[in-house]
Amino acid sequence: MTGEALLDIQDLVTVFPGPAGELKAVDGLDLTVNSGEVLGLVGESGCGKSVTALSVLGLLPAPGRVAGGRALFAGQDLLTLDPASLRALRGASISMVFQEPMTSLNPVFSVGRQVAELVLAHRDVSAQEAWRQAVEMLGQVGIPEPEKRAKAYPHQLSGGLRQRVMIAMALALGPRLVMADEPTTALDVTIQAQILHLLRQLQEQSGASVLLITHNLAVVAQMAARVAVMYTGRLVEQAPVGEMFSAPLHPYTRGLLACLPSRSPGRGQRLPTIAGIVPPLDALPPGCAFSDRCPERFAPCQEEEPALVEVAPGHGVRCYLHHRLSRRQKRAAA
Amino acid sequence: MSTAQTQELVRVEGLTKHYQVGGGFLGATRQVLRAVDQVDLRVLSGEVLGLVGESGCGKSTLGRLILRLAEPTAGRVFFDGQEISGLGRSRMRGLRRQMQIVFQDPVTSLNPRLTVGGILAEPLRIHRQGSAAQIQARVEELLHEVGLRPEHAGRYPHQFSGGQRQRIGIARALALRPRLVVADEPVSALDVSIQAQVINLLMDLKERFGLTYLLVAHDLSVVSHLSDRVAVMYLGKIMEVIPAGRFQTPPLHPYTEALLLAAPVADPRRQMRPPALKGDVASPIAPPPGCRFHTRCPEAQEICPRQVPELRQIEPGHWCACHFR
Ligand SMILES: Nc1ncnc2c1ncn2[C@@H]1O[C@H](COP(=O)(O)OP(=O)(O)OP(=O)(O)O)[C@@H](O)[C@H]1O
Ligand SMILES: Nc1ncnc2c1ncn2[C@@H]1O[C@H](COP(=O)(O)OP(=O)(O)O)[C@@H](O)[C@H]1O
Ligand code: SF4
Ligand code: SF4
Ligand SMILES: [Mg+2]
Ligand SMILES: [Mg+2]
Repeated sequence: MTGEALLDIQDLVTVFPGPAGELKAVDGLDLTVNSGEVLGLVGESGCGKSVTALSVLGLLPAPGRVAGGRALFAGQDLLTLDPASLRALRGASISMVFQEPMTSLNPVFSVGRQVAELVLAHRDVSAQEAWRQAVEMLGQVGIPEPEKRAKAYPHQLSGGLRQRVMIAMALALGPRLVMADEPTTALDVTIQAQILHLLRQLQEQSGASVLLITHNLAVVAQMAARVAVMYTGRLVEQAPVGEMFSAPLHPYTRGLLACLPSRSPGRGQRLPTIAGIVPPLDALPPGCAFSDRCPERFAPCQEEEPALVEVAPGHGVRCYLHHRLSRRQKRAAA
Repeated sequence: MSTAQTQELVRVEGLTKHYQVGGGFLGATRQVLRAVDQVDLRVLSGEVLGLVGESGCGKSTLGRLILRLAEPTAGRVFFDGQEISGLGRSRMRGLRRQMQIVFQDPVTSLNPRLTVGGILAEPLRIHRQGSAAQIQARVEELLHEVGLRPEHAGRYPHQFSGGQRQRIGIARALALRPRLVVADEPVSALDVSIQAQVINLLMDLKERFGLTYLLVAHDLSVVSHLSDRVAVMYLGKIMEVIPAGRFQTPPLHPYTEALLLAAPVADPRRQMRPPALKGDVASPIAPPPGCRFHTRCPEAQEICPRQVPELRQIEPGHWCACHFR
């Protein structure tokens, strides 16, 4: 069951050098993954989802740099941990599943060997025993004929099977937290359904927490207990999944949900849209980062950036509209 | 629906495309990949025909065959009543103008060395659509039609966002005022907010210019939003053709049913269901005998691997290839 914070990201700032000074790909992000929960992290491409995960894991590619904040995992700050301890945590207590398994698997070793090496690196077992465990894990993630498939090289497997291998590796050592970055984006819907179901089942059995990163709102609706929405490196809204879909508050979240064809009132009707495009990080509007596209912008929006304010239990919004609302609500309650 | 809807613009009969794969100098045996196999299909004038199916099932190949961007191994293609399968270059050239394609990837489908003005002028020049001044005017008109500004003509593709590049791709397809547009995953590479803008644009343009679309897409919510009829493909074959307005009602074919069940729904109140289909799509090299879907079909019977089910009309306009429907 879900409980207290397992991963607690506080005020994370990650920068990349830009043509005129540093660009904040992640800007003051606060995000908590509770133990045993699936948290969905959504937003359009470039909003900072992957950079967030990579920063926390210490895998940020140069010249990216974590410029501030903390990422407490079971009380320990991952951002200041020495590389060796972080490496020991990664793979064992925290693991990852990426979008394109082909680039994260080693093409020259069989998939069984890759799972077995992971086991060998973290557990005190013989090579033979590690292989046996690897085959067992490949079977657990639904790979048919695991003894035979363990000997296959990544390119000999379909995309769906490769993603199963990645999941087997991610879960091999019984992690407490799995970060899955677009784990089904490259797959067909029927295979996506299989992989999501598998992730869900394994998560429920093991009680691990999952940070599920995706741009697909439907995937989040089906998988997550809570949802966090990012825009231009910031968290703009977070809420329990039911509330996020039935009563979204931030104009960006409302816009995103409204423009899904599946939520359109009828076939062939014009879809609601969000005007314009996501601004580049070095050309953000003043004040609220969404203010240049927001249909509800009003005077204070471009003066100062709104803070993320909790307007209902577990429901935070970064928008002045709701700050006022909550103040009024507070007054009414007083 | 208008009467124009009932006229066919495209008809294909027994359309087949086999690729020779493997081989090479190491003497490995060459094999036949059946990308499209014995397809019969019509696209009606003024409609949006959605084409869905999993990766590699032959959707793009079918689109390319219809446009004669690929030559069929067998079968015939008719455009506006005229057989185009055997037409020579010069006769084909006149028809080319009437059928265009929009690609999925707005980045790789535009020539990076040309300005947007150059990209849009190219088909106009090749087809001799007037003087330089007239072409220039038409380019500006096209930019306007797809929601771009005249000054964009001087910029290069990399200076645009993904959504804007897709607008350029659409403008290029419209340059010669075609009647048929094959839109191959036109919004798959775009973010949802931009996807909605481009979907609206596609609908507006269809309305304004009386276009007919063959819309290839893997996102069923996009397909069902835009399409009048939907054709479902599996391993090179049409499994079902669903008439207008019936996509949301229970489909007939077990494969279509599985596809619809597999698509996640943007509604957390809907429980995730256990996956309807096990396993992967079989290989298009030596596809399963009989019904190609039988290796994954939850309802397969003894006859299924032995006999190919024919695509039969079950009710008016509703076609299905399954022994039991
Ligand atoms: N030029 C080619 N040579 C060999 N095989 C090809 C060629 N073009 C396509 N194929 C094969 O034909 C089959 C159908 O391909 P096609 O591109 O039409 O699929 P699709 O349905 O459009 O898939 P996707 O959804 O991935 O775009 C695939 O197995 C593909 O690998
Ligand atoms: N290696 C890199 N170098 C420079 N900028 C980067 C790099 N990786 C990511 N960025 C920038 O950081 C921002 C967030 O990217 P990312 O986290 O990958 O987005 P997404 O939400 O799509 O996962 C984007 O503006 C992106 O351009
Ligand atoms: S703060 Fe203002 S501009 Fe920003 S989302 Fe709210 S209403 Fe819109
Ligand atoms: S013919 Fe048989 S295998 Fe094919 S779809 Fe029908 S029941 Fe399934
Ligand atoms: Mg990403
Ligand atoms: Mg294709």
